[in-house]
Amino acid sequence: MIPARGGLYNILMRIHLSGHTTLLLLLAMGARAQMPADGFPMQKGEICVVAAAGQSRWTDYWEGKRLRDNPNIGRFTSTQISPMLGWGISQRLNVFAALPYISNTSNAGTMAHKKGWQDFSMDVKYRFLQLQRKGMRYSAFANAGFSVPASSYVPDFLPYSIGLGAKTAHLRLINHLQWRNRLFTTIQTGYTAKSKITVDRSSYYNDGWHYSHEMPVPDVWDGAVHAGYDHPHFRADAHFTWSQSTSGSDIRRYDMPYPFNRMNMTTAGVYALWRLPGFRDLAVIGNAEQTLSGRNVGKAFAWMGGLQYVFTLAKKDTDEK
Amino acid sequence: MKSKALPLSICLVMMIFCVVCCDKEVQERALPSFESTAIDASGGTWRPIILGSATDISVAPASTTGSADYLLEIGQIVQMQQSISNVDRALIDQWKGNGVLRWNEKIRALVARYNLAPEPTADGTYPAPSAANPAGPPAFPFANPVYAGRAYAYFSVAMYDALIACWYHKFKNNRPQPAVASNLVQALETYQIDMPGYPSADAVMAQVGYRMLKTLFPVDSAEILNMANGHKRAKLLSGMASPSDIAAGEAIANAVVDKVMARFRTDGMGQSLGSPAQWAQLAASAKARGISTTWKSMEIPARPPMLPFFGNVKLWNINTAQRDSLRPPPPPAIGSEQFNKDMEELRGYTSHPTDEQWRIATFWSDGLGSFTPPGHWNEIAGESIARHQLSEIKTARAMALLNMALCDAGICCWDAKSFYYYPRPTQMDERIKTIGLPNFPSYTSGHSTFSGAAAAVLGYLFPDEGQRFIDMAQEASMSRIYGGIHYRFDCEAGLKCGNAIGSFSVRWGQTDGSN
Repeated sequence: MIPARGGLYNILMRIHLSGHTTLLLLLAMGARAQMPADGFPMQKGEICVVAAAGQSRWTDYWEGKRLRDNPNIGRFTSTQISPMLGWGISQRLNVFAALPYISNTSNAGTMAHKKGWQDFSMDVKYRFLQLQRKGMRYSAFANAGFSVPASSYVPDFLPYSIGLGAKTAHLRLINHLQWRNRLFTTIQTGYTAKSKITVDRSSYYNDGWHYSHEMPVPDVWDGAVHAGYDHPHFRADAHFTWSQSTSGSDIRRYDMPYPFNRMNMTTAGVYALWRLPGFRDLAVIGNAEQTLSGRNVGKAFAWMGGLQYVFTLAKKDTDEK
Repeated sequence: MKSKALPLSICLVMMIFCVVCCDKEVQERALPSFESTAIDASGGTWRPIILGSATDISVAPASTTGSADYLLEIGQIVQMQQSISNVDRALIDQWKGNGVLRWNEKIRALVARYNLAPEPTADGTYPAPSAANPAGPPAFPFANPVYAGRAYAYFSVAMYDALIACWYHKFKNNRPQPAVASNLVQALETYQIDMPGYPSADAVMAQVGYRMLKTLFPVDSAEILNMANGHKRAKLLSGMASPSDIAAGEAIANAVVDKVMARFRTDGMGQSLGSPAQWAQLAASAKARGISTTWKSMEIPARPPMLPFFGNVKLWNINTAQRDSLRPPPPPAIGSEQFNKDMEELRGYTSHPTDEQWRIATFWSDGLGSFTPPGHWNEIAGESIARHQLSEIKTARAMALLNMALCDAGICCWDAKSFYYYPRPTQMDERIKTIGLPNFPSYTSGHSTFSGAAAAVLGYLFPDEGQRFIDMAQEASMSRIYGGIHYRFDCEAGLKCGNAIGSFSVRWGQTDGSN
């Protein structure tokens, strides 16, 4: 039987990752929206609601490639609350929407802290291929989505800015392999295009002095590998992720970060979902993740926890199996 | 339905994708580019800043246009023009406009590149940038606002004095530009037929630019030399200057820069940092003047105040007695009614800034990594110079008047800052977070002083835009309150003092023989 709550997992991962990334990086939220990036589709007519909260914290960050601390920032904390919604139009086609609220603070220094609603995002995920042989099932999905800033937040005040202010669009390919509905691995990669942004300053240094109210925001290639175990009552996985800007400059020595910086990172983490006994439609989810390497991002530890609730609008599509 | 939903969504997403991708190219403002039609033939008689007069600089008399030497030079130009490349054409295009503005843009870019604070060493001290080890770390210089203000001033003064000497010799020798003197030479850019070619004003600018900037930013000497050589080559190629025009221009530049550097090396900048004992004395003196809580660095580890004795650096248009009389009256006592009122005001701005207040605070912040507030006012001046199509010598005059005022404003403001050693708002209430807290005392506001001085000078130079400059200065001043780093009384005192300082530059301009 196909796990009915798969969509939630997607949403969670997205939440987790966007928050995580944001915080982590000196903020490159959305840099890798990873959400509808898993291999577990929702059933036809299912609606999934997720309420999740998380934090990402770092004390050290990479200034270019140099790992350093900054006593005038101290420990940086990004807190995120993410309401999310998923809908199974059919078992092959799912759509998702999310809008995180982010608060960025640190425990030292004199810089202003920032908070607010970040970027509204929408995604579609479509399963275009499924093969079965003996106990093995292979599924391939395409995911596409976009995000737009949901408020007039300030993108050019990193690391405290809650987002980069860019409109983004992404395409993603997801490969999912599952054995006897239990052991699974997911490998996915995607490309996110980002628009230039308009900032309040009228000139700035980015490998040279530029006279412009506009800043470029680098595009991002990212991906993830998951390996885990799925069960009617719980699911758990371990994952490795990577994210690479395709352009951008390094933070200069002892300078501030800017939205046009190249932000790269790899992370490793674990994820778990547990369906509450007696409440089949309600599950607790959690994720924890550590940044392993990076460039112009914080060396962050991030966690996320939440509840997901699934209910069905229409009769389930049972053509699947 | 399923079959239609998919292609539709894919199409939609691809369209969005394309729009986002195509929307990547950052639009930069066009830098001012124009060809002035003014000759300003009397320029050689204007009063220079450091030279006694233009006649202090001597130049060998020009050979006549019919002489064998000159015809040889014409031959060289003709040969260059015959084998001109696309790179050469781009070079001509790059340098066809106002050269003084191009070089002003270069120093602004260098200031921004070097406006980064030294980082602390493991023992929590901050090594001072040193011209003896410019590559660092820390890199030399730390082009902070006062270093930059002074650099802009010397750079602009050298440019102006050298062009006055150049104009003097141009009209004394009165030898035409090669493209005018010879039918064999093509004019590959717009030119003024009555402008004498000897000595070349472009060579003067290029050589002054190179000599001054390599001293101010020694690490980038090679890049600057390359730019200067490009400037000179462009004028050879375009038929605007012969090799001897250029050599004469270089000779003038070298002679003037030598005199300017003599002042530069002895103006007291070397003593502007001081020592820990002297910093303690500043605090003690301020305490004795009634400042109950004196300034301390809010950085971790505590950073020495930024050049606290910059107030003693040699001034341009006022003397030290005038500086002392311009020093604003003491700030409100800490805890007084006025203090509490202004503190409350900025608490309001910092806890709930509006989008517009944040925009203003950021637009004028001109902090680390930027060309500094004096640089911002140089950009504003450049736009007005273009709007009014000033000649290159008038451009140099405008920049010299402006930057002397900005430098004097920095000196007077730093004098007040060290005299009162007044704490920043955040020091008095650590809950006040900022757009980035500068590491020096609060009273008076540097942005306000710079802006008040700039508005006064620019209002004199471009009276039709006077109200605009006043409004900009007011906004720049307010931006520091919005940003949480100054009390209103810092800003009001700074703006007023800056205006008074600017009026001294204006008085110089009114009597320099250029009107």
